[in-house]
Amino acid sequence: MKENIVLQADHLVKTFGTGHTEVRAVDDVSLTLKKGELVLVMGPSGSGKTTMLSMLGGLLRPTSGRVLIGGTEITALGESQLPRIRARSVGFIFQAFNLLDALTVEENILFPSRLIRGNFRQASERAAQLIERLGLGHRRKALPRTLSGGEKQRVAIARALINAPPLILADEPTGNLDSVSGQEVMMILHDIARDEGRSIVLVTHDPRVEDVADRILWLEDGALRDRKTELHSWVRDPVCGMRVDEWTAEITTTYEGLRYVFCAQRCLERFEKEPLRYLHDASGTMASNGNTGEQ
Amino acid sequence: MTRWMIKSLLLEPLMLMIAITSGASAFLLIIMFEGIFAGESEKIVAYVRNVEADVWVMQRGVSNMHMATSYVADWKVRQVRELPGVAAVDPILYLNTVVEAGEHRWFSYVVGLDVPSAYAGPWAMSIGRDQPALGEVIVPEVFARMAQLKIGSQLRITDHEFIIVGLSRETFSMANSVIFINKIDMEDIMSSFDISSFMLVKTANGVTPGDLAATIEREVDKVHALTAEQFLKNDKKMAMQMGTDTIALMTLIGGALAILLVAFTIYSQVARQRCELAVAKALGVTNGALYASVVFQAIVITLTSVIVATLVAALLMPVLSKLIPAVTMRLTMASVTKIAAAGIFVAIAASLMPARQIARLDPVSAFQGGG
Repeated sequence: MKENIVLQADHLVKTFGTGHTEVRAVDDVSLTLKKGELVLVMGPSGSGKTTMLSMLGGLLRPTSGRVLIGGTEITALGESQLPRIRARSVGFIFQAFNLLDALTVEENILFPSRLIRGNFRQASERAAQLIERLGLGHRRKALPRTLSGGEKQRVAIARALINAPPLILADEPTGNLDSVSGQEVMMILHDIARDEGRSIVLVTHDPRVEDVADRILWLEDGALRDRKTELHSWVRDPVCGMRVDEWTAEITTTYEGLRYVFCAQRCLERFEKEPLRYLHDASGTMASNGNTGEQ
Repeated sequence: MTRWMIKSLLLEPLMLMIAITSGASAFLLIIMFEGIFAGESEKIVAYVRNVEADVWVMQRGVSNMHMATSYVADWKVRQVRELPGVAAVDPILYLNTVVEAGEHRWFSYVVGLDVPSAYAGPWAMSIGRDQPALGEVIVPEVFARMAQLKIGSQLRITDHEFIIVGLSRETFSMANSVIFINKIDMEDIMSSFDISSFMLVKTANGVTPGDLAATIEREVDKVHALTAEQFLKNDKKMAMQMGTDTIALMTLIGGALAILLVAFTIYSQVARQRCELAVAKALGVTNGALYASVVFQAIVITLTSVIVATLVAALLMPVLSKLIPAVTMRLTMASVTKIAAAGIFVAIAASLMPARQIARLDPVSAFQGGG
């Protein structure tokens, strides 16, 4: 059903530099996203995930190929037309939250709605709903610097949703969060896709999200491939006990010759303070070089 | 957007204060230089401005006083006195020269007065007499203070000694001061007799200066007559070209430094917000709105800086004038307006540089830390 397609990317290529310094960051990537679909894009650092996401959201022009959002070819639009698409059709969620420091929670959420004329009343009502839904009622007038990481990301999610865009693009939304807040954010995104029918492209290293994703795409050296059917190398985080895919995990350490992987930086820090405590508590549940993870 | 702009400015009061203080310091520098320039410019033509002549008569070919030499025979003075429409004529003999008092040397207008002079002498006295007899001199009060002179002290003009009998006000400037001696002494200094340099003419009731100047030029051979207004204009123009070059150069250098400081302050302010501006762009803010945002902030900072600088200058100038009497400063609305306009222009240009970078920047930079 063509009308169900929210996002379509055809043969996207992005190169940086020229001649022998040319880097092909994204190499012939094609992607279709249906309404309500949640797609994960995973891959090692520097694989071109953010570049691809930026092109999908009209933030970066591809070297070749095209992107259509809701049937509109945004790669054919002029620079003056793109802000309207970004404001109306795409919600961005950044790893670093990127809230506007001077504005309160409510003002941050309402900010994109001010870019659309005649949207004020509807946006105010929707902001109130989002604030309640995301548990930010008591922080409505707070400034970003007073919020926890999880609260900041919830504000960013509300901001991304305020104009009710059909497409949400999220870049490592749990990257700066502890495991509990990260889990919470992932569930919110999952609900948004399932309940509101919004399509989400989510760049992440967090393997816990795989269970809620409709599709998982693996980006490596700029090229995309499906990875849902591939086997994982599951191991457990020795601190919180969560499953972590050893293949994709980036937060790792080596202790007494063994490699341990973690779901979040916070877990790694705890481990480094008291390794023996966690090794004792979680014996038999970790790490490579004799990894006892499940498959 | 407006709310965001204002709140962004106020978010970090310390940084805002630093930006405004930097801007205000720069503008204060320009205002002080402008003040000195304006004050000195006025002081250079203080004599022409303050004496009560309606028409100035001089040798043909001469059209101003500053650094000029003019000779008119005294019989022509008598001839002008006889003309209809003339109420009074006060001739002066005038020389630009150096006045010495001990180790102090000062370039001056030395005006030889035809004593008793009706209105060509000092217009404001601090102490002493305003009509110098032979061997007597009236000097500016500031000059006397700086050279530690008083009534009865001696000074030298060329090779002639004079005794101070009066101290005048509003006659001192860094470029030239006005000294008054008797016209007979001046003739002696110049070894030229029965001559004058300028005639200061007053019109009779019902006669306009322009008409009288035309009559004098028609009736008296080889003289040039100008209305006081035109003569002042000519003199100011000449003084500006000659006497104030140094001050103008100082103002230019100070202004350039100040402009750089303002530009840097505004550039830094906008550059600090670079990340947030990129985020705003990613969220759908247009380039036009981004430009408006940074220009708005630049104008607010610049105008506040100008206001602060003007207030500080208004407080400082009277104090500095007392502490450094040699320097005359004048704060005018025109110069403040000019500085504010120039400042805003520079601030906008300075803010547009980083704004232009942001406008050209891919908003992808909002994705920090991405893979």
